[in-house]
Amino acid sequence: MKKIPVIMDVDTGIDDAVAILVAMAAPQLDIKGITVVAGNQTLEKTLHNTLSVVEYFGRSDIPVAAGSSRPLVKELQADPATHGESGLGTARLPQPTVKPHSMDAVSFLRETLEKSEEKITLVPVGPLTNIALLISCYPHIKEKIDRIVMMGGGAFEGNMNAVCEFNLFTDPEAAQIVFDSGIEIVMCGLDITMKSYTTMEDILRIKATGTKAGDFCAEAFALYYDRYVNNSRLPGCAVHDAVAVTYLLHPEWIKTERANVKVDIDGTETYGQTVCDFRKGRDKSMDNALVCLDIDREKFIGLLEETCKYYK
Amino acid sequence: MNKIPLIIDTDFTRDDIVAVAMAANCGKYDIKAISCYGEWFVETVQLRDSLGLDCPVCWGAMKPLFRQENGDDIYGNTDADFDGKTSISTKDEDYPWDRIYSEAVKAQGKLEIVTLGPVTNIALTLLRYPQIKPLIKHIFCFAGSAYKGNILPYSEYNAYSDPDALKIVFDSGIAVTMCGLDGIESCAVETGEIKNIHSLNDMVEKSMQIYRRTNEADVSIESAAAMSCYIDSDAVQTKDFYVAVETKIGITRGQTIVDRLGKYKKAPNIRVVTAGNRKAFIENLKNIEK
Repeated sequence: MKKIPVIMDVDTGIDDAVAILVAMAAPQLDIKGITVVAGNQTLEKTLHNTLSVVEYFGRSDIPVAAGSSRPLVKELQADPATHGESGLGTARLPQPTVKPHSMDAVSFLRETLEKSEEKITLVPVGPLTNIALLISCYPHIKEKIDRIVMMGGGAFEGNMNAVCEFNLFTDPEAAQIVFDSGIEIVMCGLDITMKSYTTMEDILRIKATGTKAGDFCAEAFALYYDRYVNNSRLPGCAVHDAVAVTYLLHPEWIKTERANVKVDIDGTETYGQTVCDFRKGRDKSMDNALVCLDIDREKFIGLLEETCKYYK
Repeated sequence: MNKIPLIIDTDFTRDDIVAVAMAANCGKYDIKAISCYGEWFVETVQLRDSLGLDCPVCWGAMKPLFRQENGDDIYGNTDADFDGKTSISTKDEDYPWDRIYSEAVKAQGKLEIVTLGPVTNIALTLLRYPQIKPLIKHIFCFAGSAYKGNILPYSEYNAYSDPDALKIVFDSGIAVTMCGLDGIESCAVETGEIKNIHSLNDMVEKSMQIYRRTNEADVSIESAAAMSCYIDSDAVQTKDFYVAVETKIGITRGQTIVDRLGKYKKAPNIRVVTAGNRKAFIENLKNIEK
């Protein structure tokens, strides 16, 4: 089977960690590297967490490169209320011994893409700062990017406010650069990720796998689950970032619709909104994204369970 | 005397040609690179060659950082049709941000930058290499205005063309001088004062011809006036202010709000050229005769 070459861009983060676990367990993917950005937590913490995850789960061979420590324009507002002070909730992983790659994230992305004979899919699941800098500074690289399968935004809902999702809220300007880049985008926004939640029953199933990944997920989800159940309408916690990886593995589980998506950075109320044009009369030649709207949740939970079983 | 290591960033308007020649010929600078905004890369290489400079020309941003669909990205209006071959070589292959960063490291804190157009390339440099900030001694921008604008009532063209980039440069903590329309307008000259200033360089001379033929009473060779304010900084009037930049789309996009009355209650971040020096400008303009 031909593997899909991918580079992930993460701000690890509880759901980022799960996304990395799903990707590393997937036989369909060839992970060329992971670049890291500030978002859910400071860069220092997201980098530390990413290195911890790849090492603890046996994939120190994957290069991890440090990227931007702050958004392009706004100040960083991390989210310890959701992801905890460490960024991984109450889960504790051993101190990583692997070091980050010697190149910064943008240099790593540039070199990896330039040297690659095939196009690579980028899978950013955090603020889009690194990706925006890459395509602004090295526009020739766009032709090497197959598409961008990302977590962020939302056509019809927000979580930071009524219309704006966290990753977009954190770096709206970067997101605008990415959505205006002409690169094909698969957007896994809140429309689908809020349908990709794990109930307590699901978490117990995952823990029952008895693997170190099952234990890790159950621990990481502890506070995260409470926060969702107490603060959202969901009966469980949304595993946002894992949805982007799931789209790559099983697009057939996911309902999508094509649209022209732009990011607003001028509105007072709509700063950071992904404005998705689904109107029938729109100029479809301007469509730049596949917007994910729904998922077969049972299959998604099944994938998380299978993922945990992989890390025996 | 040690020459000052300098990067010139240009969008290659007609006045930029005169400004680059002025800096190249004045003898004070070691020009490390010329970086380009917009589509006039080949012409900038031709200018570099015709001035006998051996620095690289680095082709950078073609559009503003953000709001590209709404931003005004029409630039360069040299109406120039220059003959002559170009000698683009491998040294011209770098992007501005990479070259500026490596020159800043080499210059060990002495590098200065003059911008004559939208400052997109410089903002991208600061975003790409945030660690460069302590290595840049001074950024001198021809941009903005304390009072009146040109493209909008209060907005000057270079600031308006990429206000987000200007805000990034202004907020960088680097020593920045803003030479806007206030500095430029005080350097307006009468055609009679420049009628005998000719350049042996074809490109520069063609630009000057257009200024000499203008029917207006005052001729403003804007970028060159700004360059003169940079070269002879002792001869111009400056004052330090807090300067904010409006970035949103609207009738004030690109306005540089010079906080003359201290309403923001913020420490000054920008040295503003409040008045240029006409005499010094005319003297500096004579450098293009060389």
